[in-house]
Amino acid sequence: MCPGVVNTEVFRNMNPVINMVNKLTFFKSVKTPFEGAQTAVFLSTDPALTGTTGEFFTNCEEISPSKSSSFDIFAVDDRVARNLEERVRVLCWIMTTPENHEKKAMQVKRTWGKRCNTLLFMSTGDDESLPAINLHIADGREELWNRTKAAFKFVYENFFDEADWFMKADDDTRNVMCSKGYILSKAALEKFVLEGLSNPKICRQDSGGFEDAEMGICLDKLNVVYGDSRDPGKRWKFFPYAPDIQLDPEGFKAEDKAWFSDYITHPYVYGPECCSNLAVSFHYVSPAMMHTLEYLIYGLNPYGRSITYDVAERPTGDHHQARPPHTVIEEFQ
Amino acid sequence: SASKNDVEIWKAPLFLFLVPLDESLPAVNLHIPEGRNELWNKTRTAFKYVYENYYDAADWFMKADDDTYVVVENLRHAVKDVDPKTPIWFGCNFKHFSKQGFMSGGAGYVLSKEALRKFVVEAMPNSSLCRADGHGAEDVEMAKCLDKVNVTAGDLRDSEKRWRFFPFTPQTHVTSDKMGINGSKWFWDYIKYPYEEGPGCCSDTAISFHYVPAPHFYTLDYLVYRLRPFGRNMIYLSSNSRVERNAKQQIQAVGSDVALLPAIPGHSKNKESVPGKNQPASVAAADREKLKQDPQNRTHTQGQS
Repeated sequence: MCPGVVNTEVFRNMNPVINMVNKLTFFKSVKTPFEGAQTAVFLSTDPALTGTTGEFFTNCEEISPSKSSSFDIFAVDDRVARNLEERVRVLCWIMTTPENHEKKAMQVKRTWGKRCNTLLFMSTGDDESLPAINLHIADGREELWNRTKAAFKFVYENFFDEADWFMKADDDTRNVMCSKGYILSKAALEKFVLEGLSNPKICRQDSGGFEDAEMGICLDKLNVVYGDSRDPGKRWKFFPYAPDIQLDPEGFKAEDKAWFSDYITHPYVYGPECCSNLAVSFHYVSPAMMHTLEYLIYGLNPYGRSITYDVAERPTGDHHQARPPHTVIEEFQ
Repeated sequence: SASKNDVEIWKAPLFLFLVPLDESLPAVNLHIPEGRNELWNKTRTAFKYVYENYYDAADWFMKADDDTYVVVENLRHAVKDVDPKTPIWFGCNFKHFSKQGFMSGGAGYVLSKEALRKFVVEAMPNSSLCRADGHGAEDVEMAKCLDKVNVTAGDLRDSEKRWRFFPFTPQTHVTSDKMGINGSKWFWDYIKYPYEEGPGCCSDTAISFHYVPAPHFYTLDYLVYRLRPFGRNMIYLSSNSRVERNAKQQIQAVGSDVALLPAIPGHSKNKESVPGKNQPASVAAADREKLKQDPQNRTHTQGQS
């Protein structure tokens, strides 16, 4: 059984020749996770592997109605997402501390964290219930860079083959599957651990400095590319603050706006146009807000509105015009 | 084309009880003083204005506050099988104060066409039915009036009995925020239907939330209408209460293009077979055309299409 009427319509109406050409072009131009790893890219790319959509929807699955006697007459079809999950493996490691294991880290695990292919918690104490990996380094801001280096080294030595992308986040980062914090490709991780970590000319050896700045300095010296993660409309996808601050035209406190506007490399629009429909992460998200975002993003849905994933469109790449990566088509009635 | 069964939700201009008149909104000046004590007076006057000027423009009439966030699509979805000629109203159901209880004013409530007519024409002018002086709690007084003219206090919970109208913010409900529900002890005494605290509180087709600060409207608009997890799609089936009795028939009628799954995110992992799969494309299209012409599926016959 094919998924929704909408998707089938799209493919039926498409000129089959164009459809095929698009598929071929796509497969030629895209970097598979393996190829992508050869170019060290320091940031997550948009998971727009819409080529799979084409094959996917012709390979109809069978789905049954709920066994309950009454049900809301709509359904969630996340097969494109699940397919993508198999093709693009992401390892997430969360920096946390023992006092936050239950309060914050566990909430990550219960909300967005479960969508990572591999989820690890890096901490300074043991905890089997999380479970936490004890880095055996002291707590505190002063040791943050040391802990970060140690965590990435641990990931490289134990999980390198299990993922294609490696993301670091804090226990107050909220992700729509990915992170504020940052994401390294396979090659970037390898370069960092093998070439950068123990080389004082590349990476700071003591624990001073700001961890994210030090990471940037290392990777820059290793010629790891710092990618532009904005969408075709130039809206951002990674955010240093929570949604209510980013989306509100007056949301930034004066002192925050001051450093923010000074530091950013790309222009930022204050207000609702700031943010991509495919945003990836927000920061300083409280545990309560994590659950709220879980409901608002994955639960609450305006009835009758769905999004289709069209094979012909890709949000990034030179071969295709910049178009919105998805279209909204009205259901009948 | 509109049929008598079509539901039209009127997108109301906001009634701002502001003095002086705000033309940028635009606001209708009710010429009633500000203040909580005048709330009932304002509410009934507003409904009278609506009845006198907009009665033909809609089938359902919703009142909300300026700190209520409403997902109008979900309101349409929830009432689309209810005949607006029945005297009925919906909202966040509370107990007390009238035979059928009342609806939270802040969460917003919606009256059918007939309910509005009964309120304005039969109840309002009659001081033995409706409180004559303009004072009192607006939501309570509304409920008393409507109850007296036999307007049904309806239940608009979803098929899993989750609520759709909420007297607090999404965060308060999803987390049972200590500042919110637990700080409002009256809540537990007032609720008419069972309420589940935490992530299971709220329908995926929720309609309204209250106490939403104005800047958060942007955030909610973004989170509800724009931000989407990539690769996740909603599938909709034309509504028909007979779906619940004839689920398999409905699927056959529409063809193999529509999937029917439990409406719980992340649980769509069913792999069971469904009848009518792999119907040829032309047949499926014909079925859809049939359904379009006959939205209530009245002429649908049993068996294969």
